[in-house]
Amino acid sequence: MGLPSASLVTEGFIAQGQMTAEGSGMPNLPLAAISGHTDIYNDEEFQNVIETVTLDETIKALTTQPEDIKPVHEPGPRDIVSKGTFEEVNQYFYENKWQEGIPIVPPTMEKVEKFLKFTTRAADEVLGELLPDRREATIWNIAVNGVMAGCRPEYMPVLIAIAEVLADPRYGVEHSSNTPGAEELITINGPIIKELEFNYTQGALRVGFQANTSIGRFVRLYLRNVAGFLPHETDKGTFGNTWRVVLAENEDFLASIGWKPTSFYQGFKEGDNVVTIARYTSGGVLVSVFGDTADKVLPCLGDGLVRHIGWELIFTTGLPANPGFARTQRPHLILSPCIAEVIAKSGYSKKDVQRYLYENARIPAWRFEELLSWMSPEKIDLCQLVDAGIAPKQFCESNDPSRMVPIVCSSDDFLITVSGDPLRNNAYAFTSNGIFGYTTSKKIELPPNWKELLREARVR
Amino acid sequence: MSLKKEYEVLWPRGRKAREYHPLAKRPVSFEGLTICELWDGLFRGNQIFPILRERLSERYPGVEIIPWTDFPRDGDHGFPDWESHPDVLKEKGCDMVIVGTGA
Repeated sequence: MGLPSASLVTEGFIAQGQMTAEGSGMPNLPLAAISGHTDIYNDEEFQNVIETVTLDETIKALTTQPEDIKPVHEPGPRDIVSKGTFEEVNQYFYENKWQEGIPIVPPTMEKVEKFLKFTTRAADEVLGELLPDRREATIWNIAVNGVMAGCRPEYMPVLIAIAEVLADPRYGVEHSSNTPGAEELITINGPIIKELEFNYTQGALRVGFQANTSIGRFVRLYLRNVAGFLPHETDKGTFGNTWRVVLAENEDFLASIGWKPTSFYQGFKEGDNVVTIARYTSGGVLVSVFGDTADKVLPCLGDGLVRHIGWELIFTTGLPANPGFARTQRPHLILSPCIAEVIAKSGYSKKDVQRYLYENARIPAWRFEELLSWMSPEKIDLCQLVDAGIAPKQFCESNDPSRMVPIVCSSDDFLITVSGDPLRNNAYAFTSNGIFGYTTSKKIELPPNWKELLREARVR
Repeated sequence: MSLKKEYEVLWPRGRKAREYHPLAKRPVSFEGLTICELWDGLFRGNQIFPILRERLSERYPGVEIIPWTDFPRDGDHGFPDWESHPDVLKEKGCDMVIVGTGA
């Protein structure tokens, strides 16, 4: 447009605003600060902040010509940026914010080249641009960060599929720093689980297994180094988590009870190697799910899902100001094999479990509206959201405030994965961050000589 | 891995894939100019903009301010129709824009 502008930004988001502006090609875009955060002031305090701080900053932004941009020189992908011992390299990477505070494996040319042998794609191929830094995701920098994370070279096809998810606009990588501090979870399906020795039994989601742990770390490093998410700058998670260890499904067990893998419900064929990534906010374990039939077990699982979802319901029906949030809530239920077996013995498939949860994991409309209203300046009425075409019609089947409404828009929105200790009747419920890291899957493409390469790699 | 060994290490980042856009020339004074407000419906913009409007009008009597409510919304549900804004800003003769609220 070419108009002078002043962008109003709360104090804690100035650094993120600057970085986002830089990623959009306007690093000198003037911002006008609002001291503190808008949500914590009474009206009088708020008026004082706007009059004493924001007003002058707005005038300055509109009338002071920003300084011209000075080009910044950055290294090229094959440039050697440092030479030193293990400790010196790690200190250098830490000072440059390229590692997270624990040592990385030094990314040397020799190591990167070993990773590149596990793909036929050109090293300089660009998979996409990752916001907020808007840096190119390439096969090359996937390998560099894979080395750093402690991955083995044969993990490279998985790492590429992960980067493809991050580069997919449906996933929404630019939201990976929103204030709820959601964390990515990668779920993996296919024969590659065994080929790369992922843990899919006892201790799922626990560190201690190289493929699960190092690939989980890779995602956090890639978000840091290529997307550009840094705490105190662009990463605005109020509270964060350490990266999540990769979840692998127990496909042997699935086959024994006739259930399909998670990837099947994401549109892939059984036997495909697939990564699925989503960002999850809250979640928790459902312990000692007692019962010998589906009728006894499923109510406990439904109740667990309902108890773990709260503000995230904004991603089910949206809000008046945020219609795009609607229909993006996808809770993820992890069942240990013995719970899945009980359910399967009663004749239920995963699809039947999804249907059950849709019909039964419900809350009263008044409670749903209360939870949404706490996130909004105005009182939320589900029927108004339906009338506006934002929420689906099932959220206003009557005006009875005690009517029970679902926590998702469709039974297909529930993701169900079987993993964990086969001999313990526990489950885990994850609540998703909706549109901000929307559940997205990609097929893992293997090189034509995969078996041979893998054989060679296993000679350790 | 020997701690004495030296490593030549590579850059872990990627090329920045964007061009810089020059910013618009700022005016010396607001006299005779039109400021337009754009609000995304979040973080108390409905309170911020009236305060700024009042104080700017007091300080710069020659300025015209077009409130955020004069810009297209999608129905009556309080969110902007962003896609139509470039045309509407032109139509309304906006010289400057105040945008909120980032938080």
